[in-house]
Amino acid sequence: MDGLSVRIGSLLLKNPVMVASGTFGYGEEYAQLIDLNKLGAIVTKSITLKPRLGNPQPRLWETQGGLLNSIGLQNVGLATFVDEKLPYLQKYDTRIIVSITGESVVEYCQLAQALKKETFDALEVNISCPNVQHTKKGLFAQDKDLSYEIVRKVKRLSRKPVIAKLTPNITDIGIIAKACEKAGAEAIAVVNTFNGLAVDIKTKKPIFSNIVAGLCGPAIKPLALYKVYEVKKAVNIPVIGMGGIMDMNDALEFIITGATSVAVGVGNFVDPKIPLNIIRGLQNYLNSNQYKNIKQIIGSLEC
Amino acid sequence: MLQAKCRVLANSLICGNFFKLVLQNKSIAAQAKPGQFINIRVDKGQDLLLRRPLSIYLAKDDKLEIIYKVVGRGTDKLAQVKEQEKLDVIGPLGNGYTLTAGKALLVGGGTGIASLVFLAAALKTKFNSVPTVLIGAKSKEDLLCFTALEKIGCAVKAATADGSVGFHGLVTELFREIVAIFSTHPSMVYACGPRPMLRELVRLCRHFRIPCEISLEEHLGCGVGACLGCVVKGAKNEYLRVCKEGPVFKASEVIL
Repeated sequence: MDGLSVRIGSLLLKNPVMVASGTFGYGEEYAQLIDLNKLGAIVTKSITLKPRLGNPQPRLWETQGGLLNSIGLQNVGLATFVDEKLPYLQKYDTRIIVSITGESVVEYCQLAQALKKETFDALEVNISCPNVQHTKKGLFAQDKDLSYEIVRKVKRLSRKPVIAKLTPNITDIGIIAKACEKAGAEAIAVVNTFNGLAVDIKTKKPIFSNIVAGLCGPAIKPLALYKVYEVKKAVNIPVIGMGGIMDMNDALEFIITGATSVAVGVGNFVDPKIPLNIIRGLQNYLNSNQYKNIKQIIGSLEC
Repeated sequence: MLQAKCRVLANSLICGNFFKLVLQNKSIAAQAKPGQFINIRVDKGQDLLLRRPLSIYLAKDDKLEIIYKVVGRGTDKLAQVKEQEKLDVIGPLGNGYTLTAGKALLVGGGTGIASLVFLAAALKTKFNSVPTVLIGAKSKEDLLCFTALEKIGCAVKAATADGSVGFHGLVTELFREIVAIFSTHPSMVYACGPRPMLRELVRLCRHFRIPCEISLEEHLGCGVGACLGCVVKGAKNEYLRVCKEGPVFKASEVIL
């Protein structure tokens, strides 16, 4: 399936289909249901320096064609990740992208430093989780200077390809994407969840204790697609597109818009076979349309 | 754990707003243990994204039976599924009840009784002893599984909120009366039902010093432990996944 291989900066993927951070745990959770070796890459749950408890219940709220979540980055923390979770993933013939997130620039640096000697393929710098406190003003990925600083420092410390994961909750995502490109990011992941609200009409209170929660799923697909379009216009590095991708047609829309790679998120909950169905579908699409290579389609949007 | 398209052998109203779903799948049925659940995709389209987790009522040969109540859009959709259609199922999932020898007392509320029927049958098979079962319901029409439990050979007692049959009051009040009367306490309590019922039952078990296992219900995202959406507070102040560490927990493991 060489026609499906793509390059994300210095990172070569056997196919463009990844599973998105936060929807696939540390990989092991899905190993009984699908062959992890077939995936282009696995992006881990975002890791923090210390284990994180996460937010109180409720954490999930189903909406029409979507899912609101407020998990609050519950994760095992760096030490357990390195000791237990990473060795498990290393057994598989797929790219491992470790997602990291911190409460401060220093914490991102400490994570990058600590992970330097570990064996994996790339770092995803998650500067866009809507369910935890970043700065007093908002998310890191809503501030171009902080985005630049975090990506720059992580890049210098880690020597691994760095992917910056951005928030769509911003007027001009292109400005942030450019700052990350300038800071040395090899790719931009577009996008994290959209800010959403759900209300309990009996109590007149928000469903989530944080009020805001992140919306994902097919409901956000056109919105995410437009963010990919905006980022693609702003930068020259590869874009990893995600947001409500449920089948091959969805993936193609992202690829045509300019995504070099795509990630399946909540689709994994709907049907764990979706990523593999997309890979198979893309190969058939190439064959039946006489394309030798998926690169012929990436960014082929005619405007 | 596996994913399979299962043929629907039956899906019919049994009483009140309760349905029985019979699915055909040998592999899932063979693996299933009492207290485990299956995760069913109820919407082939993209409106309701999440699967619906339902605990297993019976698993025998190639049949898997589920009892569910229509409570929202997902179960409403499930109730419309016709015989011979196929449903996408992942299961069996989660940790079930620990089967222990001795005098067991089972306490179920609402559809929570379903997984306890599977447990009662398993206890009988394994230890040749039948447990006593207390069933709580709103009224006579909502009383589930009474006959099925009697067939297994269990002593069954009902509690209804409106007093239309059996004990007039909550099943936890019935539990308290029964345990207080008997000089020998049950060696183990297994319970499944609404959160307030479980909370009170756990409190009583602690009071009477009876070990207790409870099966929890929660909104699930992935059902396999990946998304961390379905957590419950653990005794060490950590969050435990209902779908993975549960749905059955020792009462001492969790804070309800």
